[in-house]
Amino acid sequence: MSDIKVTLAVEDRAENQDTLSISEIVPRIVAERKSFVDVTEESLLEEIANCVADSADDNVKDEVDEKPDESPFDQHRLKLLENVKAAYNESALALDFVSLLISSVRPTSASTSMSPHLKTHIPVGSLGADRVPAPQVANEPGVGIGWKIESLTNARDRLKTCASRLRTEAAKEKTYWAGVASIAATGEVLFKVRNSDTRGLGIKYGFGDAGSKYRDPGIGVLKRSATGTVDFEPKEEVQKKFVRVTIKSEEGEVTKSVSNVYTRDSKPPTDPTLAAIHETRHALFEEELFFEIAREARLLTSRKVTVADGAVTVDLGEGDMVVIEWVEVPEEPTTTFAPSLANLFVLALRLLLANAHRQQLEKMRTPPAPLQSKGGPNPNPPLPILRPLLAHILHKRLVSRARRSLYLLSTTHSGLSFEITTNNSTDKESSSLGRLMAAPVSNLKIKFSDKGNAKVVIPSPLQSHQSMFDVTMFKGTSQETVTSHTGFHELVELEEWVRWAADRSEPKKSN
Amino acid sequence: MNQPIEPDHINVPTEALESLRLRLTQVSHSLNTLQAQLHQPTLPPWSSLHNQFNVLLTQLVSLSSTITHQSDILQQTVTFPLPAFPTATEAGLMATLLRKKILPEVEEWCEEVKQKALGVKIRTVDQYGEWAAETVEEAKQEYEWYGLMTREEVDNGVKPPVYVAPEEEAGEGAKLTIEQILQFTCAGKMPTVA
Repeated sequence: MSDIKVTLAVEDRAENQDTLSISEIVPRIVAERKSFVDVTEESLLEEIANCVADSADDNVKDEVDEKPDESPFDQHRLKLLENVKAAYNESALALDFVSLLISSVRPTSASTSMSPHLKTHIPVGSLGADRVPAPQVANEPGVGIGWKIESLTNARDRLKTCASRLRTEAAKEKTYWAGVASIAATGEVLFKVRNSDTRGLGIKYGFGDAGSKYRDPGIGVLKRSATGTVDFEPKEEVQKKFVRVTIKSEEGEVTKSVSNVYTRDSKPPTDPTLAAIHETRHALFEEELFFEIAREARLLTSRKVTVADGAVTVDLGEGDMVVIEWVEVPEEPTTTFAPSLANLFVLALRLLLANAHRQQLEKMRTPPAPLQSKGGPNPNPPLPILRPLLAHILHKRLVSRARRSLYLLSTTHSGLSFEITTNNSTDKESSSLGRLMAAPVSNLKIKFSDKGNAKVVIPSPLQSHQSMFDVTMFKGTSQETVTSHTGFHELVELEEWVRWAADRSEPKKSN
Repeated sequence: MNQPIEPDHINVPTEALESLRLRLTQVSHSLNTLQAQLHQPTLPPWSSLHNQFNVLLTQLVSLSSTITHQSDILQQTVTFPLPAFPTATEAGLMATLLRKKILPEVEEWCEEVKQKALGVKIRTVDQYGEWAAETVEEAKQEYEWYGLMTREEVDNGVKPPVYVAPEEEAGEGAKLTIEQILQFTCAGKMPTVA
């Protein structure tokens, strides 16, 4: 009944009469007639007009109209609509019949429930009824029972589908929570996420709790995959790159060593989710390391540190260069650690970042300084990562150059002797980084025969407020009487001065 | 002779028909509303459709019980067109109105479900109710309706997993009782670890 198309189009019916059998046509006509009950004149006129319009561009529209709707939702909706329409037709017809029959007794009240079509075509009170003694028709229980069975079967099937779906869901949930528990057991920080777009379990894999102030806080979510396993999704995509250090000499022509180590697990966890979390965490560390180095490098432009082409280049002088890059992780990482210079260099950088994290954490724990209305210090200064390393390297080179030139002077000037001591004491007990945490300081003692001696303090070369060589001259052999105090900024100046002082203190030749 | 005969309406079952008319008006109205709702480009929420459908079902049950209630009188009543009916012009409409035969589709449908009902022993509503109650009780026995384990797991003696947070494993601080902590916070009495 539901698939009967109710239409008034005559052509339509005529062309279908050839293809339909009698048993199909008869109910169809009946169904069409029924529709008269709720058809108004306007709708008829409209339908006829549509028929004409349709036939006019039949060739064009035919293909489009007959295409079945692809979407299953629309199909169901259409089917439901047809069923409701048929039911409405049936009930309207029954109502019309009952009303018409009543109208023979109560014409006024009955006509209120009659359809407009019936009212205009059939006069009220035109049906009669009489009571005819008829044998009791036995009630046929088969239909009711059959329907009940049908409904029960449907209900059972639906319950079964629901139950099986619930069961698979429960199994998936079990896998998911087992995975979550295994992740939580390794000490990862999990928390509840209640955003508008994401809901579920969050994981903090970043270094925020360790003192990092990097822009990416390292937050991800643990999602349930289609199969129930735990899927780790970082909130911000972290590139799988690492910091690589290349040490070059001869103006960058000769590569002396390249680092090949980066932060990773020596034994990655077997759980793929945990492995992904670890990998992302390490990648984040490397990213922050390079970011901080680049930030620091901008302050060191006066020290021949340049940031160009995605690499930080440090010119150490005398043709030696250190290139720090952020590059893709190789497919097959090296498994052994070679104690090359570059590897040690990059390890020191990592240790310094971790140390800077710790210092920041300690700073965060102390009560904050009072607010200043203006001109406070930079609230987010670059972390000391490159600077300590660079200070020591440059200092060492300077000291060795000074030693060399003083040695040359001592060969030509008799009575000139010198001694250089570099402060190697690791009195900063807090640090496992050794002397890296303390600024490099060297003391140079020069003796000019018996007439005088000088004390030269060579501080860290990155301190711009101090002169490179702080010279104090004393009289005699003791350090009691200061004769002069000066500072030099270049080794050449120191050399000149020493030569001059040595010349003066040398015993005068007779002629 | 041309004087029309005034038909006798004494045997029209007015009361029965009136009660039917009321129910039918309700059903038609509900169906019309439902149809209008389904025609909208955006469907109303499913819960509202569901409610509408429930109302419709209630009305249908009421209609059905009215028919059953009046079945005696309705079965014995025969309807026929009076001379006032424009039989010549509206023959089709008359046939539609007075048709008693079930539509072929409905007949098929009825036959189909009758076939399904063939082997069923339960014949009355009371029997059905008894059977349903028994079956539900039987089904209930198959399941545990409490706890976090399946019956199978309980029978096999599986213990529920206990998650221990890494911090708790250290066991520090757990030795103090609540009284000791309160004594410390209120009176400053240092607790002695047992």
